[in-house]
Amino acid sequence: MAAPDTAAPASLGKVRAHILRMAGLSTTAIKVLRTCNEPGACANDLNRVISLDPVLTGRVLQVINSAYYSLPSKVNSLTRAIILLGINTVKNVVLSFAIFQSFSHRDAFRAFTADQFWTHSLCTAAAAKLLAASRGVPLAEREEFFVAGLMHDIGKIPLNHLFPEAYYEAVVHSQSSGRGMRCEENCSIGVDHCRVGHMIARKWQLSPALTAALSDHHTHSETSSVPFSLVDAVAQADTMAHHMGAGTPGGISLDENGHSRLPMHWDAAGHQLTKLSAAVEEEIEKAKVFLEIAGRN
Amino acid sequence: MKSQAEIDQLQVSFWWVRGSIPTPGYEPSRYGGNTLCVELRVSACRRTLIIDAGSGIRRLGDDLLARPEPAGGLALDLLLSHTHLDHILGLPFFGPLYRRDTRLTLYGPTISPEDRLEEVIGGQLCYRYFPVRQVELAAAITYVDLREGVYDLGDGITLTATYLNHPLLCMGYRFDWRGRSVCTAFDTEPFRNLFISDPEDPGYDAIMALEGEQAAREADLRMLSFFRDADLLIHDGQYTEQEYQAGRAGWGHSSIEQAVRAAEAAGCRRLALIHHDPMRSDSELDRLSDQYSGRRAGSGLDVCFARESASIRL
Repeated sequence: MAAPDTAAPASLGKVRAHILRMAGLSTTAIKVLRTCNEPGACANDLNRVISLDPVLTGRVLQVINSAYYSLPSKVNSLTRAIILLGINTVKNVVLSFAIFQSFSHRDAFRAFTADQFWTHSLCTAAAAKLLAASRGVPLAEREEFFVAGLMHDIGKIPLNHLFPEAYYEAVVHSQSSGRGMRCEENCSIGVDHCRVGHMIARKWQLSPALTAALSDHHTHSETSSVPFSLVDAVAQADTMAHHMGAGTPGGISLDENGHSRLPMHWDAAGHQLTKLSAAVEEEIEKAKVFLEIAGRN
Repeated sequence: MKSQAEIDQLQVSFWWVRGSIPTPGYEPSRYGGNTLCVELRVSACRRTLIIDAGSGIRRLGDDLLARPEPAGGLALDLLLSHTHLDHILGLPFFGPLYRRDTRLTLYGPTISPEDRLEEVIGGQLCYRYFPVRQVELAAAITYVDLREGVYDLGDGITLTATYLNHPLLCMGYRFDWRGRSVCTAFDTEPFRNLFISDPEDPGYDAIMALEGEQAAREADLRMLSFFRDADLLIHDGQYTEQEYQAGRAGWGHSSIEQAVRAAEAAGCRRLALIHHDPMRSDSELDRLSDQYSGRRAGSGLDVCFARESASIRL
C-alpha cells in the first residue's frame, strides 16, 4: 500500500498543485499534436498516439471517469473512452492539456530524460499486456494492462519536475546504495512516486485496480490470483523492463527489502523472459517508428 | 373550466424542428425552417420547460410574453442538448431574457470541468457578436452545468440526462411526470465501432477492434434503456438510411430508419422525428412522412414528423 499522508506537507502541497496542470511528455507531443490536428485522423491512430503518453492517457481516462459521465463502472481503456466520448471530444480533450508546455520544460527531466522515462513506461506497458495474454486474460481486457503499465511510474513526473536537485540525489543514492527509488525518494523529498501516483489516481478518479497499480507496484506480493490483477501484472512487468534495461527512470526497481522482484520462475525459465523481451522490444520499435523519434535517440 | 384529464396533460410543442442551420424561405414553409426549440408544458404545476434555443426560440419567447402573465413573472427552465450553434443561436433573441421579472434556469452539458456553461453561453453574448452583453440581460439567470444523472426538477418532474453520440458532448433528456415520459435525442446517431475491423488493413489492431465492438454495443444498450417505454421519443431523423450510409456516418445524426428501430426496440409508444435536414424540402418530407408516419404493425409505435407549431398532448 502507498504510505499514508504523514510526511512533508510542503512537498505534498507542491505536488498537489502540480498534478492539476501536468502536461504530456515532449517525447510524444509532436505526434499527438499532428494526429489531433488532422481532420481525418482515425480512431486507431488516435488511440495509438495517446496510449504512448502516460499523462495524456490518464487525463483522457480522467474525463471519461469524471462526474461528467457518472458512468456506472470505471473506464480503463482508451478504446472505450473513444467510443463513448467520440473522436472529436477526445482530440479536443488532448489538445486542451497544454502539451506545448512540455517543450519549454525539457530541462525538467534532470535525473532522467523524458525519452528514458517514456521508454521504460512503454516497455512496462507492453510487458504487462503480454503477461496478461500469457495468463489468459481475454483480448478485449488487455488494453487495461497496457494502460496500467504505461502509467505505473507517473508519480515520478511531479517529483522530478518540482524537486530536480533532490530527485537527482535520490537517483544517485539509489544507484550507489542499491536501495530502491521509493526509499531514496522518501529520504530526499519526503514523499515517494507511489504515493504521488496514488494522489494522481485519486485526482483523476481512476479505478481502484488502476490506482493500486500506480500506488502498490513496489509493495505488492506476487500472487497467482485469478483473474490476473493489474498490480500483479505491473509489478512483474516493471521488473522485466528493468532487467531488459529499457530506460532508466531514476534507478533500479527493488522491493522494500532491496530484492529484485523478478519472479523465481522467470529467472529459472529464462527462455520465457527472452521470448517476452523480444516481443516487448518489437512493440517499442513499432512505437518509435510511429512517433518518428527513432532518429533522435 | 378545464377537466382533470386536461390539467394532468403534458403538452409538447414544436417551436421549430429544422437541423443544422435556419432555412428561411418558401420551400420549407410547412415543416418550418427555424432550428430546434421544443416546449414541454406541465399545466398542472404551471411549469414550462424548453429544450434547446435554436432560432425557433424567438417565436416561443413572443408567445410566452403574450400569454396571461403569471404572478411574479415567468419562471422557465431551458435545457440545452449541447452548445452547437444551431441549438443556441436564438437565445439572444428570446424576449423573456429582457424582462426583470423572468427567472430562467439554464441547464446544459460542458466538455470538461474547466468549461463553464455560463462562459460558453456568454461567448455569443459579447460585444463583438451581439449588442447586448450577458451581464446586461435583465432576467435572473441561473446556470446549471449538467452531468449525466437523475435530477429532481420539483413539482414531481424528474429529469434524467444521458450522453448521446454526437461530435460534441450532447445530452439526451428524459422527463418523467405522473407516470408519463418524454425523451429527447435531438442530435445523435447509433454508437458504432470506430476502430478498424478489417484484419487485412495495415492499421488493424485486434484488441481495439474487439473492445470497440463491445463498447459500442454496450453504449447502444444503455441508450435503449434510457428510451425504455417512453410515451414520446423525439429523435433525430435527419437522413434517410441511404443518405446515412453514403458518407454521413459519424456526423452525429441518425437516419429515420435508425430512429424507428431504436424506438421500437425500446418499446416507446410514439416517435416524433426531428432535426430535419436543411436541404429537405416540404415535398420530400411529405413523401417520407407518407412512407413512415402512422402506427407500425407489430410494435404499435406511432410515428410522426415534427413540424412547426404542432403540439402533442400526452
